[in-house]
Amino acid sequence: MRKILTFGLFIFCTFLLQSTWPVVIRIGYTPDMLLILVVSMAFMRGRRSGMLFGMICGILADLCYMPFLGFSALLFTLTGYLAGGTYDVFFSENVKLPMVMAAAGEFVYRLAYYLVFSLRHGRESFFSCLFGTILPQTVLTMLLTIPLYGIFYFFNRKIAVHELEEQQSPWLRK
Amino acid sequence: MNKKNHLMKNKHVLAVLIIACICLIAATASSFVPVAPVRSVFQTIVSPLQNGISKAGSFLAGQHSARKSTEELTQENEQLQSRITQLEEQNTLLTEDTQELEKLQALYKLDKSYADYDKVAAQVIASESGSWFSSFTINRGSSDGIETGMNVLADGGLVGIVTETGGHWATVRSIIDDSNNVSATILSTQDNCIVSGSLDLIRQNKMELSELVTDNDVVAGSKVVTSYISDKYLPGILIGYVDSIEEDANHLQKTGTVIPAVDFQHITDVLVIQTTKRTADVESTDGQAAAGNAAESVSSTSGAAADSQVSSQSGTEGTP
Repeated sequence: MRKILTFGLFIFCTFLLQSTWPVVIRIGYTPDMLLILVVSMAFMRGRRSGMLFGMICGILADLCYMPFLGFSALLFTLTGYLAGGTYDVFFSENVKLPMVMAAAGEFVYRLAYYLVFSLRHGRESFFSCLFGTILPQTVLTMLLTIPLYGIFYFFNRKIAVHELEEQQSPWLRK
Repeated sequence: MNKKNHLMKNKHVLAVLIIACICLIAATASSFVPVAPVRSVFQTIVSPLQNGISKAGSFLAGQHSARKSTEELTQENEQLQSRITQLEEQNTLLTEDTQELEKLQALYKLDKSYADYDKVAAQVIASESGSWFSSFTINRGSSDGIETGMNVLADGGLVGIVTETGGHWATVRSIIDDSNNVSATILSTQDNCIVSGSLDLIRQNKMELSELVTDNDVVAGSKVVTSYISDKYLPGILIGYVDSIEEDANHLQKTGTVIPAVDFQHITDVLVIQTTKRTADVESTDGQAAAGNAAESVSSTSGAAADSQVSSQSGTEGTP
């Protein structure tokens, strides 16, 4: 129960931060913090967590930024699944891998967004979008992974300690 | 943390979730399941928090940049003082002009200009993630008198139109959004055209101008304002300045670019005009019914010109 509340709070706070970033830091680009959250959780907790976080964060992103639901949900769920593959393979303190995965996820997400939405009315040329949106967003997301992953890692450690305690509790021994 | 003895394998969960997402896309994209109520509830919960964070963040950012040197401040102060004197002189002349204008308007019983309508000030509290403010949320809503369809201004220029409202928040779609077209007029020649948003061009700080049918030479720097025949925007609102014009390959129309009057990267405070185009049109037709001879001849010539344009331009405005 505490786990669900904490994770719910994570997602909500990350979303709030992401939506107010453009108003406070006015550089024209926003890092995709929900994606960073998905990738971080998948890296630290495995495929299943990655997928669930991806689904919920995706629906949240769709609710606020998209004309219909499901687009970001699909892409984030897939990203969470793929990122979760690195779960048991690397040390969690390693921040380089989440950075790379977040960058790759953002690149694919923005590319898919361009293909689905901008290609239809053809007002935006591919190269202009590539250098104007896709690459800067990817770089910014990659850079913001470092502090955000640190925060998520810190809280995940605390939750993991609680989980271990619960598992070792005599009440739950079967 | 993740034991391996779950009921379903991970890849099966993935398959289920993918199918669920595809169903969600199909259901909401075809409007079978309405998204707006859910979005509305969510925004109502979230917008006060967004408001708080934006204010706090802007305050901190403001504190940081407020540490200018005294020398810079004194210099800026002098410049601003001389600018104030200049503006005061201009203001006196303009006030006289405005009074004469009001007298003439009353005489011809012409429509009110958008400057006479009530406006509400609002701040931007959140924006769509990604580049540029193509869609953003403001901290005023239906309880402050905001309705969908109201025009939004910033820095004296047109920014966008309200698309959704809640109790204390509203979503504004800006004119640089790819799906947005505004029916516009070149102020000096009174020729109608369409100004479209394009995320492509806005990176060079330009918007697209199209469907301009005229023999007049349109000079770069001419003001472009919203036209009378727009069905969403009140007339006379400044959109921007003409940047370049060239003839189409078919030699029938001209296209070009417009530099917007608003800096779309740095929108903080906006004004929402509390009259939608529909209400304004209803008011003006009532007024024209009681007009005298002079007013009739003036409005009929402009009406005829607008009518000939309406047939070619109706239906090109709004979301495709």
